[in-house]
Amino acid sequence: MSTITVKHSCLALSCNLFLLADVPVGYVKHSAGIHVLQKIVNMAAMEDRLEWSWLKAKTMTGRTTLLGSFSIAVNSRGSTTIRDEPVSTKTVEKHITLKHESDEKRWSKLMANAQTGNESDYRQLLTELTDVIYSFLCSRFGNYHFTEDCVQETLIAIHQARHTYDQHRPFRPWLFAIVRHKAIDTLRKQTSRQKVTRQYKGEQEILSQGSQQNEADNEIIRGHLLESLSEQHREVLVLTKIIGFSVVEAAEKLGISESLVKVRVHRAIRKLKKMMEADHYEQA
Amino acid sequence: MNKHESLISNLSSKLEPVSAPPNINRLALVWFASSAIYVVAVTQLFGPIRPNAITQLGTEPRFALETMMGVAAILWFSLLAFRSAIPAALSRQFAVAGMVLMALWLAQYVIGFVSPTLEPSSLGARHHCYIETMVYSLPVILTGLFFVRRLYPLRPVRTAMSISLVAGMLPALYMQLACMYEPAHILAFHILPGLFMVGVGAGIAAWWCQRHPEFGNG
Repeated sequence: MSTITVKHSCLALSCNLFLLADVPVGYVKHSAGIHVLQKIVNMAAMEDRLEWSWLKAKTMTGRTTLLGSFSIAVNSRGSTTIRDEPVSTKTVEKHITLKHESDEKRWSKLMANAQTGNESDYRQLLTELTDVIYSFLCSRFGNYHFTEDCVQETLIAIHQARHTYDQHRPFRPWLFAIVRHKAIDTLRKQTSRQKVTRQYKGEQEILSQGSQQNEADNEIIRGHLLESLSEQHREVLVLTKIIGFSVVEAAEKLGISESLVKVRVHRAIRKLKKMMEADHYEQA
Repeated sequence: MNKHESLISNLSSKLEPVSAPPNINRLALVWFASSAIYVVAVTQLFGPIRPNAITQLGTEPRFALETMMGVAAILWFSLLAFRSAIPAALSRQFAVAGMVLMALWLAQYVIGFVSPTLEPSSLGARHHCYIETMVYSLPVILTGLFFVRRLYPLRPVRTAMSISLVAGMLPALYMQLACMYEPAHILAFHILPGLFMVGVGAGIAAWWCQRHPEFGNG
């Protein structure tokens, strides 16, 4: 049986995909990979626009550096194949700039219409933004349950703040100011809640990151911001804010005091906040 | 994604039109100007200003510069405070410039210990200048928060602190003309009460956010 190899860029730590074989879709290990791949395939199948499918994938992953590219074709039997198709970085950057500009104008127009009470434009805007926000958060924090919560919180915040958008100002900075703020806010407010360990193959696998799991698996699950944290900060943040353990439970598992857990969580969030504020990619 | 679709559907159904966003700079300027007029009027109402203060503005360039720097710093902070109430409207450079300007103005009084701008004197002293500073700033804080509550400050407490700093510094600056000129007195009885109001404004904002969770963005 054919398989799709989904590989992560080790340095970029985002969802850039390397598709290494011409294969039917349907054999991908990771939830993040499946999510992204199914979208690519659906779009290609629906729109039959093969030449820029890589760009769509690129936009969803939220990164500017495309390290590999591919095209998607639907053959006569209806199965989808994916081919490697190297493209130059310049071409990628140019397309991304054009895409950003057209997104910017369209979103600005849709929001202006939404401000006058146009429901369908508003629905379209929120639908498009959902994918963008989700990709942005996934590439930074990873594909956790928290990401879903955060997308919802952000959509509500956009709704509450829609009257403050001035169509004479660019849309992206306004949007991502809200997204960044809500991401940190949601993370900070995450308390002991329903454990989601089963989604991530159990706490032991997460704690023993890298040593027991396949390296590619780890890269897909986490975002590059979480990866940028020190191991001490990352493990305490994942346990308390993402998996949902209480401070007491996290302290027991890590073999440290509760106060140290609190201090580390506080510092980790502060560091993440700084990194988010310094992350100007989406404002460009 | 069903959860998202359901949420989007709820948010977009029966969508109410919203009024166009205000020109944030104009709003800040209007608030600053009306607050300044109010502070001058109410201070005059409760006592005369120092007899030679206006003359000194013309004859003492350093005093005029110090006062102008105060006006510029407070005006800049007004813009900063209102911009912080709209996502992405406040740039880091603008915020840093405002803080530097404010620090430079306040540093003038510290320098005054060594080299006073004017000859220290108790002429024109007002007995309750510190209370006046605090009391006069309170309506300014409340009107500022009233305007801001209609916007969407991502950090409401921080926005409230900026507004309160402006509100506290306006009467503190005017006391430079209305009360005696002596650096230690200015710092202790004008500036310090003005800074105290920053805490009051933060407290009001925190209380408001607790009562209105939809407003409390952190």
